[in-house]
Amino acid sequence: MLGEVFRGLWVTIKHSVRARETVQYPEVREELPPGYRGLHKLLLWEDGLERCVGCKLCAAACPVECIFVESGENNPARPVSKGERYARVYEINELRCIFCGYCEEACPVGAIVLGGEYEFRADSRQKFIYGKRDLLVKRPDEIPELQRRYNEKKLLTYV
Amino acid sequence: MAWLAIIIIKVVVAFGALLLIAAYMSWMERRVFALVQVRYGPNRVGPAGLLQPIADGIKLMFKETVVPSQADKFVFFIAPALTLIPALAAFAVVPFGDAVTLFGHKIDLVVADVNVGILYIFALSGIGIYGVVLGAWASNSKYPLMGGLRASAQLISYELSLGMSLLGVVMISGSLSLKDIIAGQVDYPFIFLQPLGFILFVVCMLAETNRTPFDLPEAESELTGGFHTEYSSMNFAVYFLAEYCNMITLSAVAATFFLGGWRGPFLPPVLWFLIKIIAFMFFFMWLRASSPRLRYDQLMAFGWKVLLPLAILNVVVTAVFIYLMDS
Amino acid sequence: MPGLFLFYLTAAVTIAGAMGVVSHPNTLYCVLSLIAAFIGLAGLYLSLSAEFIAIVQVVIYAGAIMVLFLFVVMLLDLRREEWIPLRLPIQKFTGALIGVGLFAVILKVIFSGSVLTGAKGEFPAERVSEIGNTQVLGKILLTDYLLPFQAMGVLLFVGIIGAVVLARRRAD
Repeated sequence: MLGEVFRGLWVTIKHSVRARETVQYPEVREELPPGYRGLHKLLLWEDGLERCVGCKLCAAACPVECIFVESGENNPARPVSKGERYARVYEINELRCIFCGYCEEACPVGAIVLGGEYEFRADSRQKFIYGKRDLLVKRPDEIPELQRRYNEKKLLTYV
Repeated sequence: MAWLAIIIIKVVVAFGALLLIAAYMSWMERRVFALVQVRYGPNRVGPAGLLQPIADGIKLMFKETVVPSQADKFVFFIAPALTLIPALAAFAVVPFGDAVTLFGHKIDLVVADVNVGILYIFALSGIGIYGVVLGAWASNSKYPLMGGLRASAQLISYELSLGMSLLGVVMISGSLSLKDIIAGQVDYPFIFLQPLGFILFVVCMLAETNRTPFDLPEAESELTGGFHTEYSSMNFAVYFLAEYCNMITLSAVAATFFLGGWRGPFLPPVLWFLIKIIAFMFFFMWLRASSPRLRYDQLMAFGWKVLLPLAILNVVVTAVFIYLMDS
Repeated sequence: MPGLFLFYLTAAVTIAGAMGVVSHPNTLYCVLSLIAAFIGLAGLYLSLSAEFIAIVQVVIYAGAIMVLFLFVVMLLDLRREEWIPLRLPIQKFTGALIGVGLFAVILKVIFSGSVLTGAKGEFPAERVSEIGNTQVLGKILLTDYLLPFQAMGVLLFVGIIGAVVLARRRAD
């Protein structure tokens, strides 16, 4: 029995000199895998128009029904998106969302994507309902790797 | 009144230091565990997490004290104190340094030099069992009762071997006083004369302080918290401190009996003493991180059928050697 | 007179503990009172500068035997004990008679003065404190009183064997 005790002690001693597995989070951040599903983003085309055409496919695909879309007709003179319609209201309840990524798969124009941000916080439940203001990127090249991911997919030829 | 002042200062310093070290042992335990488990452990509160015990203490003080509705309230509240007071008082007879001269007074660095010192420690550790048993009973709950029964049966069984394993050293030095025993180790520590006694003592020490592999009284996987399951807030903290104080006291006894107490080259005696205690504590923590728990029948069989006969054998062999040396 | 103060304190603890044992309705508190009485008794031994006996009193009685008492009380759940009237009225009378008799004996011994001034043996208090209580006791036990000591050991051993035999399940 004593032999086993010493073997256990030896194993633990060997472990104690190994490199630590812990990530010292606020100072050190791990690099996320390319397919990481974090906070949603609504993307733009290169010319600055919104990708979202207000088709509500994302809301239909969502298993927890956390997406609410209200579409509006585009003004041909000053279009918001490239289609006939655009999303006048686009809301996601981020507390309800399970980050499954079905909305991203359902989207025909690659408008909604799950980005790499995971540090969003608020002090009330109401504030976790993200509207277009929070979701829409400011410039087309704001998140280049996400834009690229969708440009490469080439699924948008019919728009 | 100088002697009274000296006594009061000694008591305050010794017990303050004991409680502080006990609190910091929780930090050390978590760091050692983390070391073995390829983690860092607490390192956020203060440099290297050194303020963690203080933060924990403050947190526990502000926690609500939950008392089970069917509990025996009086016993429930005095039980933690019944564990802590003997644990603290037992340290009184342990010398933690050579006599020093301060402001013209010669001061022995021991709170009380009792000539039956080691028996005094055993007596207090025997009293300390009541805190565990009564706390377990007063909670009026299943797990604590089981834990309390286990604890007391275990402590009584292993106390015999614990005492027997020290008997060899007592026979060699011819005294029960810890001061005399340290004085007897001028040339070499007694571990060279009593290797078996040392090993037996360390094993019994683990059982006496409810440490792995003998931590059945608080086996988390089967008894949740054992005897302190129903305790919260400062009551729990008192149990926790008492446990660490017991560990420190027994480590100090082991250092005194086998490793020459505060004797050591180069460094000041108090520091040597501290180093020896911390070395024992590190071993306890390391062992806890490495070994599984014994089954209860294994525990009892090991105590009565292995440790006790070995301890008696050690006493007999020592007696024969002393007789041969004398004649 | 710190010594006298210690005596009164420990005597008070002992007597209060002893009273608690026979008078408290809760069995567990009776056991606790008994422990307090034992510790008080150890204090009395200490005030007689018999450290060894004091410590052994705590180790053996308060530390080990009373834990077993506690075990029994805890496991039998004797929390609310019903008041059992004494079956024979003569019990009360006999008890009181024995109590008064014992008390009279104690009083007589105290007032006869033989305790304080009686003949001193081979080891008077001065000599004991000189060589040490433990040493004297050990020497006497293992020389002059070796035979009773051994007989006591045999008695305890027989007791242990008896306990083992009783506790063992019959192998049939």
